[in-house]
Amino acid sequence: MMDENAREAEALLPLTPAVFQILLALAGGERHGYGIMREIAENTEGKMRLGPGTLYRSIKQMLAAGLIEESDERPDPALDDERRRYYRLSGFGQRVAEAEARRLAQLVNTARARRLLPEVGTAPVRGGA
Amino acid sequence: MASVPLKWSIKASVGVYRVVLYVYPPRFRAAYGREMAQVFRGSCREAVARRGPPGLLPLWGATLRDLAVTAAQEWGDALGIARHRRLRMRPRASYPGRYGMMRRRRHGPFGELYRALKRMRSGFMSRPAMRTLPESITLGPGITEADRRRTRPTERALIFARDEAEWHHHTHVGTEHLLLGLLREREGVAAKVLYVLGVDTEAVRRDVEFIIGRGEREVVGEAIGLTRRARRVLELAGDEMRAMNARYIGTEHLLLGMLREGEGIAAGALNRAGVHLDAVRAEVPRASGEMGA
Repeated sequence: MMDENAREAEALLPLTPAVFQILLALAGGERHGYGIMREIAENTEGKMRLGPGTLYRSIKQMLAAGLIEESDERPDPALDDERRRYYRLSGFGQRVAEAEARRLAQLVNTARARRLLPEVGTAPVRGGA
Repeated sequence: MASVPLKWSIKASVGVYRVVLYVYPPRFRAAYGREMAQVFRGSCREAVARRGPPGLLPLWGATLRDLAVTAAQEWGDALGIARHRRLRMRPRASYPGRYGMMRRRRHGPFGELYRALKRMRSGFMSRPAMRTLPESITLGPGITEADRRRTRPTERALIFARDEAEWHHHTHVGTEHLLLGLLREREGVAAKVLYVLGVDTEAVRRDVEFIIGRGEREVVGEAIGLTRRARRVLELAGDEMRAMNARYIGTEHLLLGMLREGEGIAAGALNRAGVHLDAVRAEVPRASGEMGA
């Protein structure tokens, strides 16, 4: 049986790509806004770059939904001495990220069963034979 | 020193961006403006480090597009314009559409009258979901009123399936929608079998909905077709009907069809819920016997 938490987490699915990417970025530890943006660019090999507007609009909604929390404000020694606000994943955010990952994994399995993706551990088939 | 014009170009860009931030609603700007400028400065430094000051041009293009879209959305929120916001909690589905109403009516004080009316209208077969049924499951000659009665839960389940596809904003009825439709139909033999097998139909429904998600856009006025697997399920259901020498197609045949098809989302969800072909086959005769011929 599913408990109330899991149901609440699943009520938010599917997540927008921006929200899921932010959750993924924060799953690696707390980060400030620019750090989140860099992490996403790296994770997607530069294919997804969030502008500041999309980033903070998502952050606003995620704070409101309780997916993330504000951490403290402190400078990032690697960048400069400006004080920056850090964000971290909440327990609920962690569960939502897990639920979304499971949902996507299920979809990938289905895609694989329908031969849209190569089977795990085999090279993609090219050409005949 | 090259770094002086570089620094200057970044400073100027961030200064302009701070001014442009005034297009956002005041509360949003007050909450996040400073951080957004920091992020923008970071991007500027990155762009200039890679390609010099000309690198700022594409960055500005992308940033202004982002700004136009999100500022409009933020003003929408600020002014309370109702819009589809994905992050808001979706209310638990109370099944919309005609058939939720129909279900209530069927059991209400005018239930009997309503049933009679519905029989007279007999519009089921003209609905698109029914028109897509393959010939293999249409009824043959010599059918009795009892046979006809037993097809009705199936017809409803199929209409529910179409409703489900519509509600999830999907353009095709897949095995998953067939299953959701079948779970909503509580009068057929399949419902009885699932009950006897102790299946938590709500859990199955959640399982399926969890996998399929919901589409972005509403599907309006488009013909909703069957997926290849769904068609296969219906064919197998017809096969089951013939194998049992039944002259009607009941929900039990539909359920067996899903299980035999074996690869669709419906079969997966049923198997996860512990519903297997043999168990259903064993239960069907008793359940359909109790329903009365």
